[in-house]
Amino acid sequence: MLDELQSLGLVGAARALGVDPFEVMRLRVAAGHASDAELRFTQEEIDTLRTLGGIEGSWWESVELPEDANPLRQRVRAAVDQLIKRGRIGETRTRMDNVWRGLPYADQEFLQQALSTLADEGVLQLASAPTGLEISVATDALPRAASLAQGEIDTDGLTALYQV
Amino acid sequence: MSTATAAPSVAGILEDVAKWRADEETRQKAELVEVDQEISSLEQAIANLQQQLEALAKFRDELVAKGAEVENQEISKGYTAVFDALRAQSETLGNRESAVVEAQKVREAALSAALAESDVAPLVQEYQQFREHVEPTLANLPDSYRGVVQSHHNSIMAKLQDRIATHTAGPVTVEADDVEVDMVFAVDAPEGTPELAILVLPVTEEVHSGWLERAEGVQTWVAARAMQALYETFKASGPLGAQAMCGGHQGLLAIEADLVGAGDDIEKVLEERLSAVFQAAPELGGGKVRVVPRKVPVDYLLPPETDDSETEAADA
Repeated sequence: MLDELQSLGLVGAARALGVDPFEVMRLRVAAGHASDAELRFTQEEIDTLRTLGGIEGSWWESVELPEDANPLRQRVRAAVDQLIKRGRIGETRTRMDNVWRGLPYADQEFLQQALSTLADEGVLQLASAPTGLEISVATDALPRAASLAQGEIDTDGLTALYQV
Repeated sequence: MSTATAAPSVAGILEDVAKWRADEETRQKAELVEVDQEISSLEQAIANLQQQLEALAKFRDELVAKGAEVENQEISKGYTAVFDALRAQSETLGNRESAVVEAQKVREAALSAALAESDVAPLVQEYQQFREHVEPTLANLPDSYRGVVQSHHNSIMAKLQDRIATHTAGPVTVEADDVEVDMVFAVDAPEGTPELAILVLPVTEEVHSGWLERAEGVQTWVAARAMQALYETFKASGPLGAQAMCGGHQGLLAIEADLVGAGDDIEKVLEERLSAVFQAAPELGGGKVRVVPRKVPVDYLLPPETDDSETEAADA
């Protein structure tokens, strides 16, 4: 019980933030923390890293998944829909891992692949930032993304992924 | 008395000429035969030398091929040696990890004992009572009551946190000999411009793939500090927003980063940051772990190329 009163270790901080430990190190460097600081994190530091990194809580708690016979497709449609609804379009980006935070690990893995595929196909766009990889719907692909979210279309890449 | 010399007869002269001609022809024929023999000998000698030349040229080609093979063998030996060494070192780190875990437990026990005997012992009891018996019922209290209780709890927490921080300042230390391990890195610059950085660590790939389930320890710290050094390098030398990708290779953690757009000094900066970060890491110092970054040829870190024709033949 006294553990709760101590600063968190690296893995504890990673769990608290919902990112992997190496992301925590990236954020720490971006925040300019001392290079030789211990791998211990106070709540204040965790909050700072959360803000700096644009780490959001899970998007999925109140999300209703669309009806779809394929659960993988269901999840991808919902993820793209969330990006649109939350206004993550064009230059208004979000951390890529915000999209799958809070989901079961298998869903996280699949969404990572699916979103990367959609980025390759121009529906989504990725941007590298010092605080992590960011994602948004490509502005000129918004109608396509909306159709995808509605289940009206799929891309070739997604079709291939669903069959694996 | 004068003696008249008889004039040579034409027949005799003609005979002489014919004889001279016959002698001359015989001599010339003999000379020709000799020259022809010599020519033939020389031609044979030339043919032999040509054969020797061809044989030497073939031997030279074989030597050149063997030379290229030596390079391939060197790369293969280097790759195997590096990964074998790192795998063995990861076992050493695993053993040190166990020692650090034990030292952590001793520290926790000492902390509990110290708090129990100190002036904050009553606060520890209050805190534990609150967590076990009061907190679960907080929601049932009216807002004003809940606010007061929570505020009191927070002030107790703050006092305990201060005291605990005093007892737990600094990293866990082990009573053991220093352990020295290597981490290897390479910067691939095939056209002279840095394109890719590869780091391989003497830690299991599970520190990344299984971080949620795995207890934090020395191997996680080594990997974390390597990532820190890499991102400090990007901060100093670019590329801006570079992403480090982690994966496993031969059971070990490998990290790759695209360096397109980085400064020309990135290899030097990376080496400097790796040395500095590992040297200064307090938790590694406490664990008596020394990590030495070593630059190796990039080919030593890349899986050997398979010969597709051999593979096809094997599959046939």
